[in-house]
Amino acid sequence: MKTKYEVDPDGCTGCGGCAALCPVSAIEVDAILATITDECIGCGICADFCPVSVIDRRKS
Amino acid sequence: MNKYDVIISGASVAGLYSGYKLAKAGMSVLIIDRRAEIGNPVRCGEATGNRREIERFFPYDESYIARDLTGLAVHVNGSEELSVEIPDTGVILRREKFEQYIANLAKKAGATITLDETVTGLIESETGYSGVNSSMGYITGKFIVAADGAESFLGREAGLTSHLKPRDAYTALQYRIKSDKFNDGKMHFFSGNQSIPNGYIWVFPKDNGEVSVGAGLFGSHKKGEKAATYLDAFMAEHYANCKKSMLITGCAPIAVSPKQLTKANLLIVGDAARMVNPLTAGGIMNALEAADLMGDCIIEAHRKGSLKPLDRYSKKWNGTPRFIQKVFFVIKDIYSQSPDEEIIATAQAAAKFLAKLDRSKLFTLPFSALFPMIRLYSGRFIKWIPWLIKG
Ligand SMILES: Cc1cc2nc3c(=O)[nH]c(=O)nc-3n(C[C@H](O)[C@H](O)[C@H](O)COP(=O)(O)OP(=O)(O)OC[C@H]3O[C@@H](n4cnc5c(N)ncnc54)[C@H](O)[C@@H]3O)c2cc1C
Ligand code: SF4
Ligand code: SF4
Repeated sequence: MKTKYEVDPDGCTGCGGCAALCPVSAIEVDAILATITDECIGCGICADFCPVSVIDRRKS
Repeated sequence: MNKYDVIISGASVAGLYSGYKLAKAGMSVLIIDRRAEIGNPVRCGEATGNRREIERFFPYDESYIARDLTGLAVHVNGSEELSVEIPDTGVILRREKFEQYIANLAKKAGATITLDETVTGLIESETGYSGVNSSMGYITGKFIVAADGAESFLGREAGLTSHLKPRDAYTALQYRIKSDKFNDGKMHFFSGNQSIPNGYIWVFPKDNGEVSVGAGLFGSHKKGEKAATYLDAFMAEHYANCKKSMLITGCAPIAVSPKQLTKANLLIVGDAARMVNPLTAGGIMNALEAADLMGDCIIEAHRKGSLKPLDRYSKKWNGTPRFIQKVFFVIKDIYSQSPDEEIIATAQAAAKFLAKLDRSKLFTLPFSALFPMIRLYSGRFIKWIPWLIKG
């Protein structure tokens, strides 16, 4: 199975930068929090971008 | 009622000002935003044009102005290379008050603003788009304005924009702190490969004895490279004992806007249309300017009952405004690959140049920095000329 990414809700500011970059639109943002869906293809672009480094590979 | 002349997605600078302008012209306007409160959370360095420039769009009001900017200082690897006083450089906003002010104008003009609701889809019709889907259900509109920021959801749905490529994304974070250091009314920029390669750190004055200290990187392409790393080192050096009262993060598109800004009755504006200055990441003035051009076209299209006048929007933006964006794109590209000696030489050339100018006549600051830079970089500038004149 492909690696997927997830957002740590504690540190996310909801800025939406990750969602502007995700090539497959796998990130949903409301004004305060980003959530990564199962559409994620594991490219890691969002994690490289995130200014507060709260995106990482899913643990489970 | 779920039927409007105009549906605007995004109640920030671009969306609110468009809504105000269109409602004032008598159109029924709905502005939707997923944020729960106008202007909050703030995602901005809050530096913008001077009062005269703001007044081209609506009256300036002291309630939304935190501080007047008095000039500019550039530090390269810790030493100050340029420091100039420039009257009327611009102002530092209270961004949330600024947006609330425009929102009030829009409401008074008759626009409806709905918060805490999200636009989730674009509905096609035979002639274009009949409306949008949203968390409130289906809404119909004669015109649809995408002012939804860097994510540009509607623009992507319509095929006018695509996802930001990492190299076209400016990644930034900023702290608000109380301190007198570099708090003299000037905008302070810190550059140089030792301090921060491929980006810069800024210290902007705020009100109540505070400063905004931020860092941004052009493109998040280098694995593991984070603006936060450079900002934290800078904070440790200069503001070690200061309490951070606020953290903001964000993404600014630093690409050039697409040439096509409309598709049938859908129009994109502001960050959604990538209208930011690619060097400074400033987008407030551009968003207002574009919303103004766009608004005129929508009003005319509405009066004539034809979509034809909308074509003028892309045409007008692709004239001077987009050309200026391209020039700054080139400068950004050259800057981000420059060794420190060149950045220092540029800062010094700019200082000399600025010293000779009649500063009271300077319209906006970036232009003044342009000429010496172009001369300095003429070698590397040449390869860009065909792209610049292609339009
Ligand atoms: C860290 C940082 C610092 C900056 N500093 C400056 C500066 O000092 N000076 C300057 O001029 N510019 C600055 N900018 C750029 C400036 O903030 C933007 O250019 C400006 O906010 C653009 O306004 P806009 O209205 O186009 O979009 P935005 O302000 O991004 O607003 C978009 C709105 O759309 C809403 N939205 C998005 N999707 C949906 C949806 N699907 N449904 C409903 N609502 C939606 C969002 O909630 C948001 O309110 C900075 C940017 C960043 C990231
Ligand atoms: S980029 Fe980081 S802070 Fe911003 S919304 Fe995405 S996960 Fe949250
Ligand atoms: S890892 Fe790639 S595909 Fe997955 S959410 Fe992040 S940007 Fe999107």
